[in-house]
Amino acid sequence: MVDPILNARLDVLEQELTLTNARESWLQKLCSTLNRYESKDLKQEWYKFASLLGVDLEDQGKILQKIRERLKAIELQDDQAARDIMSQAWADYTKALDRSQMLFREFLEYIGGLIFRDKEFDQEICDLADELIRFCAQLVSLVGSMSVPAARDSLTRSVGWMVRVRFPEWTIWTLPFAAHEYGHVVLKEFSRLDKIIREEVDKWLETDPEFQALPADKQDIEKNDGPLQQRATSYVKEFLADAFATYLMGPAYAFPAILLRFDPTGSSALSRGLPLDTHRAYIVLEILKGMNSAITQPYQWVIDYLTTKWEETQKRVNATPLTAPEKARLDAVIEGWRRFPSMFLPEAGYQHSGNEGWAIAGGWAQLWSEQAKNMVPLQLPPGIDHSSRLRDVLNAAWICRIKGDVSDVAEIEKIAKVLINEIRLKIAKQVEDTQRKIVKRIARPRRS
Amino acid sequence: MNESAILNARIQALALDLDRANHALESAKVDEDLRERVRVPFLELITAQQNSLTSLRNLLGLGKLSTETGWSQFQNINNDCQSLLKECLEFVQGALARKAGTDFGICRIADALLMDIGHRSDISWTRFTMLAVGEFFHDMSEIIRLRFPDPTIWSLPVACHEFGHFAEQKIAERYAGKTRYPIKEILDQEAFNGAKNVSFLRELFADLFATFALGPAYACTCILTRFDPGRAHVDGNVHPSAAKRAYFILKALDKMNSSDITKPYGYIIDRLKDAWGKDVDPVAAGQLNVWLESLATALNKKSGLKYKGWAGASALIPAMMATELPHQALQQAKAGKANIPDVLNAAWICRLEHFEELDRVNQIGENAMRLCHEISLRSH
Repeated sequence: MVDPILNARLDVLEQELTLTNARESWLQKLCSTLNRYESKDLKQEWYKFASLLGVDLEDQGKILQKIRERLKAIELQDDQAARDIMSQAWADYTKALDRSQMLFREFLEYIGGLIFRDKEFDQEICDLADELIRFCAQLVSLVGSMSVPAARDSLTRSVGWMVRVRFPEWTIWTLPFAAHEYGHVVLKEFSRLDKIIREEVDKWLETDPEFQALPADKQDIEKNDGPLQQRATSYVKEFLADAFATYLMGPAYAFPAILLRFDPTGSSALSRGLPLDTHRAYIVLEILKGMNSAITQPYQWVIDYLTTKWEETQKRVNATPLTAPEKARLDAVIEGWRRFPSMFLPEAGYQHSGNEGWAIAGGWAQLWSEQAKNMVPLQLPPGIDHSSRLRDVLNAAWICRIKGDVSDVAEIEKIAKVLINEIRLKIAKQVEDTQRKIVKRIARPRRS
Repeated sequence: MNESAILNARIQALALDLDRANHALESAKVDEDLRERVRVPFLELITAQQNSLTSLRNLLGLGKLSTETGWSQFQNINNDCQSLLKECLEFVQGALARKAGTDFGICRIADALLMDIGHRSDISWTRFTMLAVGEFFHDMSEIIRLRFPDPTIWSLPVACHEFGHFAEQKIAERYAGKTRYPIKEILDQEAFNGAKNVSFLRELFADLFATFALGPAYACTCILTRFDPGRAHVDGNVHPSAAKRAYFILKALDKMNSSDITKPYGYIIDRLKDAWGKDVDPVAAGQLNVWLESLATALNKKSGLKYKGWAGASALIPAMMATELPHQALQQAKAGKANIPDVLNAAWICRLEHFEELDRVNQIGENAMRLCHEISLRSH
């Protein structure tokens, strides 16, 4: 039994996988097109992305190879068993095709994003996002990701550790969303989290009223990657990414999420297979409340402010309030989240006191606010060095925007960008110094 | 912050997003030729959304609109804007990627093919093609997407199906001083039978359009390289089942075959039917036949559209089969004595003869690609 159509499809898909996985030739193409990157940096980024995607592409190639082997075995047969194998081969091919198309989409988006960034359309916001992600990556002991501009409803998630920055939101105000996107990378790639995530998904599924209404045998089928299970996974990961971003960024994530992003009616998310924004807002605020346990309750005014604004807006749009069972389910996710921070470095969570964190951000905001009051152009705060934190700048900017005397939001954004770039410069110099010292040490003649 | 502070912040942020998108579209970094082809429609859409936001802001400022109504209006504008911004990003990225050569030159060939079909059907299409994860047509920018990573000519006929979606609204007739839109009328009529029927009919019209424009090449591409036999009888939300589409396409090809005295496509139809091996139930077949008749009657008036190049395609067979493309064939392409639909059909005739020989198929594809490339240079 031979199916020439299936054979032709396998040929085509194999060729497409090979073409996409031709790392060197794509790199050559990129090097001859892109001007902005140092070829060494580009190579590094490219190989990181291409090798991650390449593993998946190769896996699909192996699946096709296995299909071919099975087809070869039935070439001379024409019975029911052969027909069953043929039917299974088509099903496996279709699955591999679907997965491959997702990888092709990711690849195309990455290449498009690189070229887009090269032309500097994004006012360097992706560079800042990269820096932020690098910082987050250090805190969770994971490799960083490269950010690329993307539309709102990107269907795929971080196959190649790519973080999407929504086009054309090229402002520092929405930069903390990069931490949420990176949260998805962490949830996917940090294998130590797999078990906990699975448990949280199971918990969410088991308390889903639609799931509970199913008979026991259907529930078993559902648990095995059924639509409700897929929905539970998508929801729980979105909640956990929100918790991650709030935990790392502090109020700098909660402010834009509540004020600039979440839909108070909640309706716009459902069509995209995501949880209601009203549920996400609850998670963000509750995580922030959890971080507010210090004796000084440093985030209390932020929590009060955002809760009030959110509740007022919800009332105005006649949004349905959360029910007690809904709250209980969300509380369970928050409870589950509490197991995550121990997997990261102790300083991963946003600090409210000490040499970095909320106290420093508040000081910077205070300084800018006073400068604005005295009609002085906003200036860089003193004492900036390589240990100054990007997340503090974002928090300072938000404090200043909400509480300060700076009437022009653009002014805050401008000085925040200057400050971020100053910190980036200090970090780069520190890396350079360290490397120079290493080179000196190696070059120094050793005593026998 | 007043009671509509959050809403005002959102309106302001969205207005800024539109400004930035406009700036990106106007940027000289995007290929000027491509930019000029979409600049005006994008500008009009952005301006319209900016006006809506300004009006909303004014009404809220004057207290003529409650915050609740304001939010609801903002949600509508925001949804439209997100589609628009997505399209803007895709255009800018697509244009840059195309310029960088990530498409291996296939977009230029597709442009030439679609321009040629536009010319033959008297339907002016001034846009361009670019890469995406699958073929599709978006009526916002009227840009047609080609599937990545397929740099071969074998999938080109699908671009013609997408062009069919563009043509659907443009096919017009002047009669007794009035303009009629026959395809739109058929679709409107079908709306009484449900929205799904309209979606299906749209897809079938695009299939018919591509079959009429390209002849057997379209049927071969769909049946041999695209339709999934495993899910042949499953209707999608927008697309009818593959079995229905294959039936419809082969019926359309049969129609073209019957109207030609030499009955040129008989053997190809038989081979495709044999290879596909799926049928549709009599009720569905009856419905498809009725739809085919009404759509074909409307499309028949575009007499220039119908593919009549079988003889030209047959003449290209030796060139397609050669291990090295003959110089003469290239010269003929340069001199305008061959067109892309003929090359695609010639390539498919040859591929059918060597369907399972991957190397031969690749060689045929490469020869066809070179010829198409020459033709596209001429038409550019």
